[in-house]
Amino acid sequence: MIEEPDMDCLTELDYGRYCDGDFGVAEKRHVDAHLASCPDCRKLMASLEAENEIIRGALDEVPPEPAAVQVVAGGLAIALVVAVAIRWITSGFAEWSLLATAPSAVGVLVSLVQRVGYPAAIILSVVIISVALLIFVKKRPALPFVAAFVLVLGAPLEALTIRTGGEIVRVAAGTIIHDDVIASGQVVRIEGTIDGDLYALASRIEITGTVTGRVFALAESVIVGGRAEAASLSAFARTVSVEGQVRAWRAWAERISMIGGARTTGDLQAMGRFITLGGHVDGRTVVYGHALTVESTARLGGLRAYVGDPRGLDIAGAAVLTGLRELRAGPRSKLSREALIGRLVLTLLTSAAGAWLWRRRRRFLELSALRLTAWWSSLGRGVARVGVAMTVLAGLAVTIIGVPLALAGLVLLAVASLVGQIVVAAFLAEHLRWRGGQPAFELRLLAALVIISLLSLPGWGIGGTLSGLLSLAGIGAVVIRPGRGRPA
Amino acid sequence: MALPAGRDRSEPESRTLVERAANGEAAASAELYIALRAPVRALCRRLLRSDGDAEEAAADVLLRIERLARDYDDSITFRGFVLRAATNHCIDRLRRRRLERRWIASVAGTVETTSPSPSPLSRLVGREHRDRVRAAIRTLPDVYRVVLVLRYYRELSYDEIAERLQMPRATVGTALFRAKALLRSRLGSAEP
Repeated sequence: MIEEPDMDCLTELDYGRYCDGDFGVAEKRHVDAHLASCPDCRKLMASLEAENEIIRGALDEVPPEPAAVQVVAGGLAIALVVAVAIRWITSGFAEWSLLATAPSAVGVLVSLVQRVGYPAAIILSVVIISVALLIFVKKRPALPFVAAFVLVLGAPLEALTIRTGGEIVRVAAGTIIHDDVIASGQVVRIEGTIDGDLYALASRIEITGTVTGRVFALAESVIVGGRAEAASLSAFARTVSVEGQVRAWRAWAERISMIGGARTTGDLQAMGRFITLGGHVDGRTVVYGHALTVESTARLGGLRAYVGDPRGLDIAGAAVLTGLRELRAGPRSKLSREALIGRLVLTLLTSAAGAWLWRRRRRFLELSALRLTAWWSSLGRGVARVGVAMTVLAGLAVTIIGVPLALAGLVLLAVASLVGQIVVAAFLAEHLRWRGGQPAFELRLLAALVIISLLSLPGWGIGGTLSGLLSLAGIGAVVIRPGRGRPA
Repeated sequence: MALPAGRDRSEPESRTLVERAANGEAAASAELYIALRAPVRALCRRLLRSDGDAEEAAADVLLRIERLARDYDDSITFRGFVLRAATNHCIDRLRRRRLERRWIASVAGTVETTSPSPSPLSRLVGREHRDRVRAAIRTLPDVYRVVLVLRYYRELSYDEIAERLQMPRATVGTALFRAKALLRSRLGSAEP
């Protein structure tokens, strides 16, 4: 290949080929001889070889994870904590939707489900899903999915009891972290300063320090202490208690309280069963709930309260309400109407989420070793079509009607928990073995769903934990990006 | 047979395992799948620009593992065989995006073969610079990125690259040369 050039020096192109081992023995010997006598060419060669090594090094390296301080205490703790968070979110949401939808047809259905009790409700839901999937899937693929999700989401998921003796993640007083923090453990305690956002998952989250960014808290209880300051707070928990200064916050919990002396310089949105407000809110205050107590120390701006219990509105005489807008109590209040819209949006969002998941079914299939059959793909097409239409409608509902956006996050988590279990069931179904002849996949799926729901019964002690872990395994199968490990 | 028994056991993608997978044994396929998941993904992520694309491509290849096991002949290791299939699949994907017209045309043409001053790349050492180099490689036009990956990640010879990309052998050298020149100019211009 190498024609002898005028001078013995080769071009860079040819030296590149030489470095890459593209020369025959004779050519190579010739070039080696020249290199021994030509310092310029040696320099060029060295530079090319160094360059190749740099390219090799760059290609060999695993791309880095996005920068964030990750304070994580133990793998199992995360699993349990996420499960607990999902559980409280779903049950908190269920309670809210129950009290909000009581007078509607859906509300009757939901309260029926609640009266039947959790185990029965779960078994019922699973059976409905399975039967619906088996029967209707070929004709109207999206319908059973939507129906099943709506039914199941109403069920209060009294699932998990967290184990004690776990670990504490603590940002000590005096510590300043100039980055976003992701904290997860049994207890997350922020006493120092976080100059960034805080994402916390725990059984108990206590903030007594300062967070300059947003706080996103998922826990059984969230406490923002007396000297705490935070730019904004989104809390999903069983109890949320705010005693410090927060610029704006929204809470979704069974019990929400803001004590006298606490201050919110922006807006407050509280959605829960029992809400007590005693502090100052400079912005608007929006309350959805079963009962609202406004204490005498409270100073609330622009209060809008929609309360399910006709006698649930208790406002102390000394409380100062400025720019009062609306106070409604009782089942015929605006709350009911909004709740219906919420239900609708919920349906739409779950369908959209289903479609979204479906579009990522490759990962589903890949990780749960399912086979792509006509059965699945017809289901997918239907869900996807309906999902797109519903996403648009959901968008309209959120933007025009003003249904709380936080709903979307909650619904996604709740659906994820359910879908997670279904994925695990599908995986199980794939590996179920019968003696003498293999029944259809659909039947095995049904059996697996029943097994999963039996395992999830809280009465069995380990049921709750197992249920959480199963959800996680399924969610993990769907969302974990392969190639990225769990943070160390 | 060719492999010693000890190695046969330690190699995750051993011959017996491949044979079992070829015979439709799901457990064997799953084992192969687990063993080959990481290398296939790593390769796809380097060949394709978007992570989403890479995930899909990797899934496409890995879901066909049983068929690959059936098609496998003994000429190379099974790992090499699967990685070759992954390479071809990624190249097909890139081609399908109507890049075919520019695929080879972009490499043809005159090449300046003068010896330049020492490469700015050789000054770029250390971790932070490796990140920059990697980012720059990602932004290269498909054909240049692919030749770099095949040569310096997969360590294929010019002949093998020419075969994979269906380009004349001489073009491979030119493409690598161009790829590096482009890389240098991108990194050089980004220099403070």
